[in-house]
Amino acid sequence: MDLDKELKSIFFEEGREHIASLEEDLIQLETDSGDGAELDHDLVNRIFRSAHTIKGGAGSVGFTDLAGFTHTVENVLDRVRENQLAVSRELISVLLSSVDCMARQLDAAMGEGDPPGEGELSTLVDELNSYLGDTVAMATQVADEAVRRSARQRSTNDGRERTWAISLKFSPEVMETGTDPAMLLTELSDHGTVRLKAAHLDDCPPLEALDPYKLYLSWDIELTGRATEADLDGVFIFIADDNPIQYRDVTPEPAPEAPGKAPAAAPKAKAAKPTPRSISETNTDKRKGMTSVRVDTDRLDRLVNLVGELVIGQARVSQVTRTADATPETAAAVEALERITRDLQDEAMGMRMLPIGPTFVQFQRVVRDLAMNQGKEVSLQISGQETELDKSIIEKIGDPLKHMVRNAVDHGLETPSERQAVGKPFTGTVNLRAFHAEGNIVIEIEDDGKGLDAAAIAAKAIKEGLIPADHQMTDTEIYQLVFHPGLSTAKKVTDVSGRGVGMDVVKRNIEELRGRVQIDSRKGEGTIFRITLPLTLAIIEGMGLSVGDEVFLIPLLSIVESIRPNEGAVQTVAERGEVVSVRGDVLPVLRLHEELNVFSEYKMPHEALLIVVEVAGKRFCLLVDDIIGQQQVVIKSVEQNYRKVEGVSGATILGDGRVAMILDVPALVRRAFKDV
Amino acid sequence: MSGVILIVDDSATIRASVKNTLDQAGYEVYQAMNGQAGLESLKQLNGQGKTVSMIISDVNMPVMDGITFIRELKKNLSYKFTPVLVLTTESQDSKKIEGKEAGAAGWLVKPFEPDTLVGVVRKFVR
Repeated sequence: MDLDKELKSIFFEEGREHIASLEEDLIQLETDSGDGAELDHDLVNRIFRSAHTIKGGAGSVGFTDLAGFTHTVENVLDRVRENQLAVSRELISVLLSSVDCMARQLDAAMGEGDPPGEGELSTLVDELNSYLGDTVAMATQVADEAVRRSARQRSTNDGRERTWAISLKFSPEVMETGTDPAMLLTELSDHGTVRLKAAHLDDCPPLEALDPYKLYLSWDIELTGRATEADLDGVFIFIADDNPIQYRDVTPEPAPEAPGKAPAAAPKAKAAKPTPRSISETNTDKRKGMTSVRVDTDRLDRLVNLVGELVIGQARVSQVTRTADATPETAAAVEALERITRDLQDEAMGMRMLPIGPTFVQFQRVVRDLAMNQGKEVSLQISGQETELDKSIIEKIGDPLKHMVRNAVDHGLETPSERQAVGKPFTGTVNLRAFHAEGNIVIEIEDDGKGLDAAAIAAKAIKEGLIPADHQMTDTEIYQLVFHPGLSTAKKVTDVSGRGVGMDVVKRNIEELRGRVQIDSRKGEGTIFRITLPLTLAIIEGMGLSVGDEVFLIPLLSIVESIRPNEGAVQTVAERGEVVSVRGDVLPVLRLHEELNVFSEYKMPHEALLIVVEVAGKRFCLLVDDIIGQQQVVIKSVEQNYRKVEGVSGATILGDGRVAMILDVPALVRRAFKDV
Repeated sequence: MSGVILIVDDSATIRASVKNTLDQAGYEVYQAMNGQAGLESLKQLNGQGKTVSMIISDVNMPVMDGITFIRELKKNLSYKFTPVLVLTTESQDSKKIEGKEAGAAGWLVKPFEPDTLVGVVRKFVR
C-alpha cells in the first residue's frame, strides 16, 4: 500500500512537471508557427513525449480517466508530429484547454479539487477527434479492442494434458538479440516435462569457419504437460517471428497413461512470492545509483530552523568568549566555529532556493489568454529564469506577480490600433526579469504601453479624498497611489483588473515578504514595476535600534538614512502631529518609544536619532535612542509561538541572549498614520 | 530470484513502478533516465563488478532514444548478448519491429500488470 502511495506521489510530481512543460511548449509552438514556418521537430517531439509520459504514468498508477483522455490528446499530437495536421491558433487553444483538463484530472485523482465534468470532457474529446478524422479514431479503438481480446484468449486453459512436438530451430543470430535457448528450455519446463528427441549438428560449420557468437544447433523436443497452444505462443512470443520454430499437438489418442502421470509431471512454479528487499540493498542503490535524493520539504524547513538555532547559539558563544578572558586558542576555535556555522547556514539556505523560471513561464499562458480575450497582440519576454529565490518566497510571490503581469497587459498595453496610431510596433511587449542586486532579488515587470498618467491618478485621488487638492507630491509618490485600495484609473472596468481591487493586496503581499515595490513610468512609453525582495525569509539583514532598555530591529531594506535633527527641527503642526524638515521635505515623525510603549529617557529629538524609512513611496521618521548596528539575525515567528502582533514581524535572539522584536515598519506606520 | 536489471525510461513513474515490482520479485534494479544515462550507468555498474542480466528500455526518450541505445549496446561486446526488453504502448506497434531490428529481445506494452512484467523478465533472468 505504501509503495502504491509513493508511486502515486512520484507520478503526481512528474505529471505536474509535464503539464507545465506542455503548456509552455504549446505556446512556444504557436509562437513559432507564425508564418507557416518549418515545424520544430524537437519541440513537437517533446510535446508528444510529455503527453505520452503522462499517459503511461497515469495508466501505471491506475488513473484511467486521465490516461484515456491523454490518449486522445496524444493521438492529435501524433498527427502534428507526422505533419498530417497543421498548427493553428484554434488547435493550440483546444490543446491548451485539454492540458487544463488533464491538470484538473490529475489534481482530482490526488484528492485536490473536482475533476472536469463529463460534458466538458466529451466536448473536448469531440473537438480533439475532429482533428483526427473518423478513420483514425476508429482504427485506434479497434486496435485497443484487439489487444484486449488477445489478452483474454491467452489466459484460457482447459487443463487437459497434452504432448507437444517442438522443433527448436533458430536463426544463427538469435543470441545477439539477447535470447538464450537455454532460458527457453527452462521456461518450457515450467509447463511440463521436457524430453530431448534429437539434437541436430548438421548446420555446424567446420571449426575454422565457426563464429562463436552464432548458434548452429537445433533440437527436436517433446513437452508433456498442461500447456495450451497459447502457452507455447507465450513462451516463443518474442522469437516466433524471426525463427523457424514449430510446434504441433502429438497427444496420443487414446492416452491411457496420461491421467496417472499428470500429478508428477507438472510441478509448475508460478511467479515468485514477493519478498521484501533488505535495507542494506536499498541503501547500496542510493549510494551508487543516484546522484540526488528526494527530501520532504518539512524536513528541509526543520533543518533550516535548527541551523538558525545553531547560528544563535554560536553567536552567544562568540559573545561570551569575547567578553571573558579568552585564550588565543579559544578565540581561534570560536572563530573556526563561526566560519563553519556560516558555511553551514549558506548551504542549508541554498537547499531551499529554487529558480524563479517555472513561475515566470506559467505567465506565458496567462498573457496569451488575456491578450486573445482583449484583442491585443502581446509578447512576453522572460529573462533571469535561473535566478534563485527562497522556496517560501517563490510560493508567495506567484499570485502577486501574476496579477501585475495581467495588469500590465490589461492596463499597460494599448490595443494594436492604438499602438499603430502613435507609431509603436503592432505587438506590445511585456518584459519579465529577475536578477540579483545588492544582496536582494529584483523582479521587474516592464511594459511598453501607454505609461501611467500622474495627473489623472492625482485627480482621481483628490476626487476620492485620498490626497489634498494642494498636494505637492512627486510623480513617483503619485504612482504609488495605484496601490491604494479603491483607486483605479482604468476607463472601463474589466473582469481582469477589476476596480483596483488587487493592487493594494499585491503590495501588501510583497510587503509581507519584506519586499517593496517601486514604479517608474513615462507617459506614452511604458511602465516598470520593480519588486525588491530579500533572498530568504529565514534570515534578515537588520539594523539594531535601541529604545530605552529595549532593542528593536528593522529590516535594512526599509531604511533610507538616519539623521540627528538640529534643536528645534522637529515641530508640531496642527492636525499632522510632529514633523521634521529633511532637506526641504517635511516628514512625519513617529516616536517609537511612545508607539511601542517603552520607557525612554530621551525626550528631545535632537538628543536622539531619526531613522528615515520609506513606506509606499512616502518617507517617515522613526525616533529612536540610538543605533546599535547592522546585523544578520535569524527570524523566529511570534505568530507561531504566541499570536500575531500588529507592527511586529518576528523576533530574534541577540548574541547576548536577549530577545529583540523585529518591527514591521509598514504596519507600524500604517497604524500611526491612518492615511498611508 | 536474483539478477541485476537496469530500467531506462524518462518517466519517473514508470521507473519507480518497474523498480517496485522487480524489487519485490527479488531483483536488484538500477535506473537511468535516457539511453545516454543508461550507457553511463552500465559503465558505473561494471566498475562496481556488477553484471547486468537484463535491460528494460523505453523507446521515446530525450537525449538518446531507446533504439539508438540498443544499437550502441550491440556494438559493445560486454552487452551484445544482454537481453533488452523494449517498453512500448499499444499505439506503437511499429516500435516493436524497430526495437527487434535494433536487437531487442522482446517488448512489453505499457501500462503493464506487475505479474506480466515479472513473467516477461523471468523469461530472461532466473
